Amino acid sequence: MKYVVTECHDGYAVLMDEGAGFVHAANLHYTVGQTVTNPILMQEAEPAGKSITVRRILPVLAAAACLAVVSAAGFSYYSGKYKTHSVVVMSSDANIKMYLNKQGEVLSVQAEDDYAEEILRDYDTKNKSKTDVANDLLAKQIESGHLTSGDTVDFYISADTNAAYDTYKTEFETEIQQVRVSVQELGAPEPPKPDKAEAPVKPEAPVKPDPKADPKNDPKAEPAKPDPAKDQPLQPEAPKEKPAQAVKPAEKPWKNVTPVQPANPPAPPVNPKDPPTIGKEQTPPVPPTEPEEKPELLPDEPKKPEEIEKTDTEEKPEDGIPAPEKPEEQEGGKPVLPDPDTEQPGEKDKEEKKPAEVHPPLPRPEPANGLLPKQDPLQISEPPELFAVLV
Amino acid sequence: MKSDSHQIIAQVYKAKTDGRAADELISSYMPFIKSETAKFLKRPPDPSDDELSIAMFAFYEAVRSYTKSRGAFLNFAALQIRSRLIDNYRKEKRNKGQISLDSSDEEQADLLETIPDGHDEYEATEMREATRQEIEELTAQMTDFGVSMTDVADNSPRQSRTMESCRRAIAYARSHPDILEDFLRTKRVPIARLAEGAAVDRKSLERHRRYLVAVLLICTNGYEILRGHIMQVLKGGC
Repeated sequence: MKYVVTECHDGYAVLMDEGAGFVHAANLHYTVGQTVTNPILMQEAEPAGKSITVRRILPVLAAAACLAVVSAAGFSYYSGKYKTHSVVVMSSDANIKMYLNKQGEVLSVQAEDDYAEEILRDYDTKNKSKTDVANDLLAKQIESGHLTSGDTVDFYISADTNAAYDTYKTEFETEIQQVRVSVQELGAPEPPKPDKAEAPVKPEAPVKPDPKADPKNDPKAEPAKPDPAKDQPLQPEAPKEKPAQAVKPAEKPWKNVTPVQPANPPAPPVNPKDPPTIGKEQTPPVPPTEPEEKPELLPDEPKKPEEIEKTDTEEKPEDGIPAPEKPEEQEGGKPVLPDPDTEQPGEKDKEEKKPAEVHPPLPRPEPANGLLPKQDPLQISEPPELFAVLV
Repeated sequence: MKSDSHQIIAQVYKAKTDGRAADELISSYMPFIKSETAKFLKRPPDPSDDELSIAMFAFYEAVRSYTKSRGAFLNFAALQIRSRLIDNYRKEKRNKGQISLDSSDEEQADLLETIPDGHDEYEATEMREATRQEIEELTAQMTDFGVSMTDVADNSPRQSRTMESCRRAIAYARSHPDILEDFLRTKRVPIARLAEGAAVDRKSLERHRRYLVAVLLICTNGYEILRGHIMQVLKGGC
C-alpha cells in the first residue's frame, strides 16, 4: 500500500493511505508530499486501565456473576414453587395432611390413616387450590356417610408467618360451606373441651409402697395404713449365708438373758432352709445378735476362766495336730463344744496370740545328754506335764 | 528528584494530546534518545541513521501510551526504544540478501543506472511538489475548521466497520454536491443528513467528525492529486 506523507514532525510523520486512512509513522527523513511504501507504523496503544490480569479475570468474574444470578433465580423459583412452606391437617374421620407452597398452592396430599388413604385413592390435586381440595375431600366423606353437614371438621394449620396463617384460616372458614370449620394452629395446645371438664375426676389409685424400697427413704410409706407388722422397729435382714444361726439363739447358754425386744410379739420361727422372703408381710427372722448388741446382752455373766481355757484347747485340733491328753479339758466326760456365737474370730486370734497369759512359762531344765535342741523359751508352748515326762 | 519525575509526567500527559508539546518533549529529550540508540548500535548515532529516527518515533509512542501505572517514564521509554530498534533490526535482517537501489556506494549507483526506468525523475519531483502544495493548502483549509493533520490521524477510524460507515457517508456527500456546498459554507459537517442519507449510525459519524472534515475537503474541488490517491477506495462515490 502506498502512503502520502501529509505532515512531518521530529519524532513522527502523518501519512495518508490509499483507503483514505490517516496514520502515524516513523519519520524516516520524509518530506511532505512524498509517497512511501513500507513505513514503520505506530502500534495501537492498549486502552488504559485494562491490564492483562484484569482482562483475564473479568470474564471469569462475569461468568461467576451470571452463575450466581441464575442460581439465585433458580433457588427463588424453587423456594416459591416447590418448597413446602405450610402444612394443613384436615382432621375428621380421616386425617389428611396437605402440603402447601409459598403461594398457598397444594403441593401434595398425604393420608394419615386407612380411611384417608381410601379417600385419596385416585384423587389428583394438580392445579387445585387448597380450599378446592378440602371441599372435594369433604364431599367424598359426606358421600360415604362419615360426615354430615352439621359436623365440625378441625383444620390445623402450620404456616411460616402469622399473615399466611390468618389468610389460610380466613379462606378455610369462608370457602368451606359443607361443614362447620374449626381452624387451629398446628402444634398449639388444644383448648379444654367442656364435656371433658365436667367429667368426674377419677381419684388416683393409691400408690402401693414398693416393698423393695427402703421405708426410711420413702416418705409416702409412713402415712399409709397403720400396719402392726410395719410398726415394728426395723430390723436388719438376716444374713443369707448363715440362716441357721438366726434360729439358734433360743438354745444359747445365755438364753435366759432377755434381749432387747420390740413391743410387738416376735415373729414365728422360720425354717432356716427357706430363703428369706422379701416384700411379704412376714416378720423377718430374728437376726443373730449383733456384735454391737453383745455387750448389752451379756452384761451380768462374764465368762469363767475355765470356759476360756476350753475354748483355747478346742481350737488346737483345728490345726490338724493331734492334741495331747488334756484332762482338764473334759469335765464329766462331756466335751465342751465350742460355741460359735460366743466365739468371735477376732477374739480367737487374740487368745491364740496370747498363750503366755493362760500357760505361764515354766523354768526349762538343762538338757542332760544334749538330746533336746536348744529352743527359744518363748517359742515353747508345751504343757508342763509333757515336759516333766520327758525329763 | 521527585519533582523532576512529576515534571516529566506532567509534560508527557500534556504531549499526549498536544502535538507541539510532543515535539518540544522529543527535542528536550534528544540526548536521552541518542543515548539509548547508542547503546543499541554500540556507537554514537549519526543524524542520518534510520535507527535514530526509529528511536525518536519509539519515544513518541512511549509518550502516547504511557500511564502512571507503568512506572517511571524514562525506564518505560527506554524499553520502548530498545524494543522498536530490535524489531527494525530483525526486519532488516530478513531483507539482508537484497540489494538496495538507493545505496550511496559507487558500485551500487552503477546498478541503479543500468535498470531501465520509465519513471521520469523530473516529473516525480514536480508531482511531489504539487502534492506538497495541495497538502499545505488542505492543511490551511483544515485550520479554518479547527482541525490539524495530527488530529485527523488521531481521529481516523481503526475498525473496518467504522471505516466503511465513514466511506458510505463520504460517498453520499460526493453524490450530493449541495451537501458539500453547505459544508464549505457553514464549515460544519452535516452529520444528520449524512447519517440519514447513508443510513449509518449518527454517533459513529460524530465520533470521527475531524476525519470527515479532512476527507470531505479532499473530495471538494481543488485537491485532484490527493483525491486521485484515495480514488481507488472511494471509487464508488468519489
